[in-house]
Amino acid sequence: MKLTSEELDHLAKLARLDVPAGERETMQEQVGAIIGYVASLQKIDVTGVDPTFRGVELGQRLREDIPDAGDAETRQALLEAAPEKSGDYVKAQAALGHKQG
Amino acid sequence: MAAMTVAELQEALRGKSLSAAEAMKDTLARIARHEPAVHAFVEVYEQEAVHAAEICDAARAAGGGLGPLAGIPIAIKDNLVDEGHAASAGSRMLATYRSAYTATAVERLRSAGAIIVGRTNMDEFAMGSSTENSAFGATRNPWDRERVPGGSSGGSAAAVAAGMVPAALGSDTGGSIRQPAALTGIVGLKPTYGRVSRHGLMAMASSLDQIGTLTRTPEDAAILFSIISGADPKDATTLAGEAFAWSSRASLEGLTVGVPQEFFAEGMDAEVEARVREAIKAFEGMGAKVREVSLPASSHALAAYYVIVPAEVSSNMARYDGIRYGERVRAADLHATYAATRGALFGPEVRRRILVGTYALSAGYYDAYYRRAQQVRTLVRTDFDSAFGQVDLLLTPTSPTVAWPLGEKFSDPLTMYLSDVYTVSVNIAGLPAVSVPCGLAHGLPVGLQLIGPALSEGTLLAAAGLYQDTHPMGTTEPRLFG
Repeated sequence: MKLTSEELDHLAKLARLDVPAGERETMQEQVGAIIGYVASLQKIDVTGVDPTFRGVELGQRLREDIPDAGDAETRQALLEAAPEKSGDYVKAQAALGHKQG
Repeated sequence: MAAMTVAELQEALRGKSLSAAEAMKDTLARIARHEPAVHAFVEVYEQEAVHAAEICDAARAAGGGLGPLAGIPIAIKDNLVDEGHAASAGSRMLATYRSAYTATAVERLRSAGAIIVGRTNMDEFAMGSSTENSAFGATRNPWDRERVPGGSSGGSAAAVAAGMVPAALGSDTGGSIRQPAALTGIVGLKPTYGRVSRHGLMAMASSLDQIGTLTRTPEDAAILFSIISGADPKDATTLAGEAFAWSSRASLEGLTVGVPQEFFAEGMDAEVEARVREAIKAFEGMGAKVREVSLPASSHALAAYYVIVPAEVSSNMARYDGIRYGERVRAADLHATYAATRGALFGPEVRRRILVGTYALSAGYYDAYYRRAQQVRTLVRTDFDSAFGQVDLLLTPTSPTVAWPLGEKFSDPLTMYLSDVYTVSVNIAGLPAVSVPCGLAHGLPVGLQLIGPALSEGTLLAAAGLYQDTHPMGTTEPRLFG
């Protein structure tokens, strides 16, 4: 099974992931082959079987929601990690008003 | 001096027959000698490590209380963060990232006196089985530099196998500690899900990821595990439970060992199978009762794994968007910047998994893929539950083959995935397992996998320890090149 060009475009758009032109063929084949392989799960009878979502079921764990402002040094180090900043803020391009591609 | 284990170093350092500075000098000399050929490390903290060793010696001379790992050099996988140090997870995305905090497991090692000597190479974001998917180049197997060390914790495994460090931390989502341990002839422990805090571990597949150890002996694994395990308020998935306790055993009398027939099906190298069968005989010789068991759902575990992992990957990788940390490739608008950054800076295996996961979670496919995989997960878990109603532990091969030549499976992702066939079901069920060397096939190391019920690390390590102590096959030393 090979993904169609349209299927690849759809997934790439959902994942916000550019696929370079030179890699499209290979990606369509490889992703298609992996999906074809895991599709074998369809053949297993799972009638009445509950899903397991994690290694060990722990139940709900909650703690008090107390804000922790941290220290100035840690805040600064976290800010330093951002590619672009403005004062004490991480800077991004406008999220609103862009053309939906 | 010969490469020493953690236990031997502890004794020598406590008895003052060796200083921490001498131990560190030896470690750094070994790294200098073997690193150019093995490429196990992404970065070695030479100055910092030498300085820490001097401080340790000064504290010992002053009679101060020292931790159990005082002066012991340990390496950490590059997906564990350490304040002030870079952490790149083998990715161009994080090539210049430096962490503002320290992973709990690393913090606990350091509090116990360990000296972190550097960060080890890995498949990008732990996605891979060969340590070839690294932005920093492939790591080589110390047994044969034309072969892979396994992965994704291949740098940690190679560093320990080559004697550069006595121990290293790794992470295991589907075999990433056990498989490289098997392929390089050392001991790899994947603990019960929730037993080691993952605070500060870069998430790959959160329902499966677990931090563990790579060492030369089960005893060393127990020493490290007793320090890094335990509840952590910073990781809500850690188990409260009792602390880990371990003691060595003189015999396996009273222990029943199961051999799952499905793990000896087609696809396994005949010499690998012969070594594993010999090891099973050896367990009988040590007093264990051996019986065959069946884990029928295990044949579906790999397919379920390769749905669960990409689905969780597609969600966990969403944080790498070029805004809050990492590199950025700027494009016309915000959404184009996300796509350009991710497309340019993630390697091919990460991008493949993001796309497969996006498919499995997209409208109309969720029930057929993700939900169904989680139902199969229940079947896999139930199989183990019923097996552990009859036996105390299971013996299987860790990997169907020995280490393969570099490049052999690199361009064929499905073939690469098949190398995880004996390890993934353990993560799917959240169980602990250890891989211990059981001899050579084709002149290369073979690993025996011991799987136990949740929280049975003590039993597993004691059994593996007795096997290693009483069988020369349980210890292997690489014929280092050059």
